[in-house]
Amino acid sequence: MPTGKKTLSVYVVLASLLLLTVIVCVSLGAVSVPFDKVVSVIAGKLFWLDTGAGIEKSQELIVWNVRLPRVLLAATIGGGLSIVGAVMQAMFRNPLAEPGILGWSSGGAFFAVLVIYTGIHQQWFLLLPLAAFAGTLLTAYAVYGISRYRGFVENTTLLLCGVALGTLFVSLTTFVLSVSNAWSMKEMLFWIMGGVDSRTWTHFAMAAVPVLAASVTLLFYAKNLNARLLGYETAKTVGIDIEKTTKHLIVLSSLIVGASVAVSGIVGFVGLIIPHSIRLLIGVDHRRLLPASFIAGAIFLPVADLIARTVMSPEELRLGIITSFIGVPFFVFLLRRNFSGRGIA
Amino acid sequence: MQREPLKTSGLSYGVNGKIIVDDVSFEIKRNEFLGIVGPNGAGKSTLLRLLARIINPTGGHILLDGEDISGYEAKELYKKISFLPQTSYFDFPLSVLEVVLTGRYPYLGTFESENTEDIKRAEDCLSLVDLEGFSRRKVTTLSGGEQQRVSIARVLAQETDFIFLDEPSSHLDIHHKFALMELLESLAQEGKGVVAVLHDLDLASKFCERILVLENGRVAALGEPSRVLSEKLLSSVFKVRGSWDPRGENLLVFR
Repeated sequence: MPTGKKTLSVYVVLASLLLLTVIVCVSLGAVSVPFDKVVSVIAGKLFWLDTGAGIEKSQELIVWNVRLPRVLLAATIGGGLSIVGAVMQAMFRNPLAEPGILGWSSGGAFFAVLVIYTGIHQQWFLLLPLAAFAGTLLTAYAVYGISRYRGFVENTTLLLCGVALGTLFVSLTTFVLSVSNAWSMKEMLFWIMGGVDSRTWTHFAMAAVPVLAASVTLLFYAKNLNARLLGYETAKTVGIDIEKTTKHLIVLSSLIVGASVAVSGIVGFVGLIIPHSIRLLIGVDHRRLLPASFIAGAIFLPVADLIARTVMSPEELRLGIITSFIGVPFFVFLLRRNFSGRGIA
Repeated sequence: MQREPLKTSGLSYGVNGKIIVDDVSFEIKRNEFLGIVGPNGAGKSTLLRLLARIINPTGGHILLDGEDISGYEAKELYKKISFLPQTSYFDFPLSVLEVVLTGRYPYLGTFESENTEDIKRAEDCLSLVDLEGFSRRKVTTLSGGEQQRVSIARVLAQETDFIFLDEPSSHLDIHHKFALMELLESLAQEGKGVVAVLHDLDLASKFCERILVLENGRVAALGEPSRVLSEKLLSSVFKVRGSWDPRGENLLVFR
C-alpha cells in the first residue's frame, strides 16, 4: 500500500504536469505563441492585469478565445471520462468497462444528433446536453438491465451487450446524419470520432458544471467502490446498499458522459487508459484513484488533442483517432492479461 | 436482550416456483459453532445467504435481538453479522491490508478513513489466519488458500456477534483446515455464534457443537454430531454407508 507521502508526491507531480500541459497546449499549434505570452494573457484576463505590452491582439485572441477554452474543455472531458472509467470498472468488477466500450457514449451521441436534427436544441441551450445525458442514461440502464441476472452482472454479456448497443447507436447516428442534407461528412466525423475543435467558452461552461459537480459527488462513493471489487456478496455484507448506490453511480456517470458527448462527440478509451495507468502508480483504493485519475485524464486529453491538431498540420485529425490509436493496443493488452487469469494492472 | 440467540422461524425461499429452503426453524446461540451439512443442492448456501440478508426470504422470519433482520439499517446489521461467501473475487490488485480493512467499513462514515486502531485490528486478524507480514502484498499474487485466509481475516475484522461462513475450508491445506476449525471453535467459546456450511462430515463432527442436516431444503436433523449422524441418516441423506468409530469419540468411519 503506497504511503501517504507517495500519494502526495503523485498528486503534486500530476498537478504540476496539468498546469504545464495547459500552458504548452495553449502555446503550440498552427501559430505558436511563446509560453511567457500565454501566461501573461491568461494572468491578465484572470486578474484584470494590464499585460498588454508586447502582446499582439491576434495572440491574445488565439490564447483566450481559441485555444484556452479548447484546452480546458479537453481537460474537463478527459478528467470526467477517466473518473467514469474507474467507477465503471469497479461497479461492474470488469477491468474492460469504459463508457465508449459499453456503448454509453454512442447512446448519448445519437440523442444529441437527434435533437440537433429535429431543431429542438434551439428552444433552450441546455436541451442538447440534457438529450445526451438522457441517451447515455438510457443506454447505461439497457446494458446493465440486459446483463443482470438474479442480482449479478454477467461480465461477458455486459461487454457484448455494450458493444452491440454501441454499434447500433453509431449506425443510427450515421443514418440520421446521412438523411440530413445540411450536414457534411465533417459533422458526421465530429460525432463519431469526437473532437474539441471550434469549441468556445460556452461549450466549456456547458460541460464543466455537470462534469465537475458529478465528479466531486462520485468521491463520496470511493469506499463503496472498494468494497464492490470484492464481489456483490462481500460488498453487501460490509454495509453497502448495492441496488440503491448502483443507481446513483449510473446517473452520476451518465451525467459526466452525457455532458462530454454533447460538446465533443464520442472520445473513446480515455476511461480505460487512465485509471489502469494510475492504479499502477498509487494502487486500487478509490479514495486515491478517483481524484488522481481525474487529474491524469485532464492531462492526457489536451495532449492527445495537441497531437491531433499538429501531427498532420495544417490538417487536423479527429481526437477519437488519437485516443483509439493509444487505447486499442491497451485494450488488447488488458484483454490478454485478463484471459491469462492474472488479473489487471 | 443482547445475549438472545438468532432465531429463524418458518424460513422459506423459492424462485421460479422451485422451493429451495422450506420451512426452516432453528436457533443459533452466541457461544456455539453450528455446522450446516447436506448433499449438493440441499439449499445450504441459500440458507446461509438468507441468514446474511444477501437474499430475502419468501416466507418466515429471522430474528436478531428480537427484531426481524429485514428492518435493520445495513451498517447496523453488518456490525452484528458477517459473512464469508463461497467465492471471493480478487480481480484487482488491492493490498492484503486493504482487503481486510473493508471489514471495518460498517463502522466508518462516508469520508472517514480507517484509524491506527482499525489497522492494528486488521493486522491482528491476519495473524489469526497465519498471514502476518502479508499486509502489503497484492492479493492477486497470493495462492487460492492464502486468498481464502485473507477473506476469513476480513470477516474477523468485522468483529460481529454472528459469523456465517460458506465452505470456509475450501482451498485450504490440511494444516490450515484444522487451524481454521480450531479458530472458529475458539471464537464460539469467546461468545460468538459461528455457522459454517461444511462438506467434510469428519471435520464438522470433530469441531461443531451441533450439526444441522439439510435435505431438499428442509431440516432432516439438528443436534450433536454423534446423535445426528446416525448410520440410518448417513445412508438416507448422504447415500453412504458409515458409522461412528466405537474406539474414538468424534470419528466417522465410512465403508
